[in-house]
Amino acid sequence: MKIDFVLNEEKVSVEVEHSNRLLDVLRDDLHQISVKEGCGEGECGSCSVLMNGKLVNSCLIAIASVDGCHILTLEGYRKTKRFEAIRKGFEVSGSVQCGFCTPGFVLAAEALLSENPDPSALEVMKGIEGNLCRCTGYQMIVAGILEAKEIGKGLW
Amino acid sequence: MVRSFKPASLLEALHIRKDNDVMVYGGGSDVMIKYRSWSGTPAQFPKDVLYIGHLEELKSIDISDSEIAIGATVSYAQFLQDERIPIEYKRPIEQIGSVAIRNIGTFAGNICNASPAGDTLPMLYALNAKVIVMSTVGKREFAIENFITGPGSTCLKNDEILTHIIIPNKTYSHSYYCKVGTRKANAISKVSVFAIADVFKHQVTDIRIAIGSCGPTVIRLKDVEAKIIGSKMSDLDLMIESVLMMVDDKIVPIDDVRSTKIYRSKVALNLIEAFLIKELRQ
Ligand SMILES: Cc1cc2nc3c(=O)[nH]c(=O)nc-3n(C[C@H](O)[C@H](O)[C@H](O)COP(=O)(O)OP(=O)(O)OC[C@H]3O[C@@H](n4cnc5c(N)ncnc54)[C@H](O)[C@@H]3O)c2cc1C
Ligand code: FES
Ligand code: FES
Repeated sequence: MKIDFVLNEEKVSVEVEHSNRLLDVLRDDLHQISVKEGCGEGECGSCSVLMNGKLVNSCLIAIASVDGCHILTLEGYRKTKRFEAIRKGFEVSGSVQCGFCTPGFVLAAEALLSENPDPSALEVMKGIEGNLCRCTGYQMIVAGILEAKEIGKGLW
Repeated sequence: MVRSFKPASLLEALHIRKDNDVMVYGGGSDVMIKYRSWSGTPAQFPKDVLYIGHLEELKSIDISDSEIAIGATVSYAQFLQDERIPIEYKRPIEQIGSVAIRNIGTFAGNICNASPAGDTLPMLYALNAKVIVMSTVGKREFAIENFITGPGSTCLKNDEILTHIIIPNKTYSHSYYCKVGTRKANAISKVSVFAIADVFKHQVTDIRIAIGSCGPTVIRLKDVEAKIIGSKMSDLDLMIESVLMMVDDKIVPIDDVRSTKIYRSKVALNLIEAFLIKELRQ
């Protein structure tokens, strides 16, 4: 089946089975290796991408439902000023250890900040509730996002 | 290999449903897990798939003085963002899954999946919600508790699509929701209770209680409700023991991977006691 969609603001077209997971199409066909498979069942958030601006787990999306949509992965997001603010926030707060979960957390942070540019620590925790990290213990990621909202004030 | 259909309208979807043996794909958050296969391979759907998640016709929430009609492709996120909807109705929904799950999951999918742990269901049972299903020949309407017939089974026929969920648009003096799971996000309920009540001049004039994950379907406690309606608040303390015994008789929790029978009945009774004794006083 031919699927057309917009990936990181560029039109793409893939010839795949309709029930392929968006996760696999992004990684295998479109080389978006920031999108990681952790659990494969919607629970860890390491396969997060933005679909029409909304955070989704790409392991739960059949590619047929992506036709005509806008998908943003970290590969696209990293070209933005907002990403720079989150990167700095994460750097100064020690939010990244092994890094496996990081692309998912960055996109969860973007989804949160674009809806609520001034979240409290509690709201940040709610915003990243679907992302698991085996290294940091989360406090440093929460701190990173709170730092990012200050650094990037006015960007969201 | 199974085929796929992506109709441009509800009418086209209904014709596809009539002419083919297809599985409906709404948000996909249940079916992608149920039919997932090895990492890197497509989901193994058992039959041809009818994708409906994109249908705009079913993506609106229509609110009148008497009812709230939720289209089948409305996501939980859209429901939560709608400022017209009373906060009491949002409580169970904001605890479902995680941000990403609420962006794709739907009421229609939760209802048709018909799990006794489905978190929209206790609320829908307690609010006397209805569902509307359509086929090319017309529509049928069911009370939610008649629509769901057992774990994973509903009255939906092979040629039908659930199009709307209807909740009476009313407010109540009291409402209560508690979900007990293993972690806060992405947890399947071990036990959950949704209840509403109207208390007027210290008398309970209406009360409805529904329990999730304590039987083959969500359970409405109609006998208990009938017993309480009309009582004075001051009588509730005296009645509580017999009421809890009635609840215990009515629920049929089981041991499974998520919890045990004993834990489930203990927690269910505690939650109902908390509602009747503490919350109703507030
Ligand atoms: C990580 C994770 C966390 C979750 N957390 C929760 C939770 O906390 N609480 C909870 O209750 N659930 C939870 N779920 C389950 C799921 O997200 C919900 O049941 C959701 O509401 C399903 O909606 P959907 O549109 O994605 O369903 P789908 O997967 O698209 O469909 C589910 C079933 O309904 C049928 N169907 C869907 N729409 C229609 C329609 N319009 N007409 C006829 N049939 C239809 C499908 O054929 C299928 O049988 C979770 C799932 C995951 C993966
Ligand atoms: S791999 Fe998709 S949520 Fe874990
Ligand atoms: S930094 Fe290693 S999993 Fe999060």
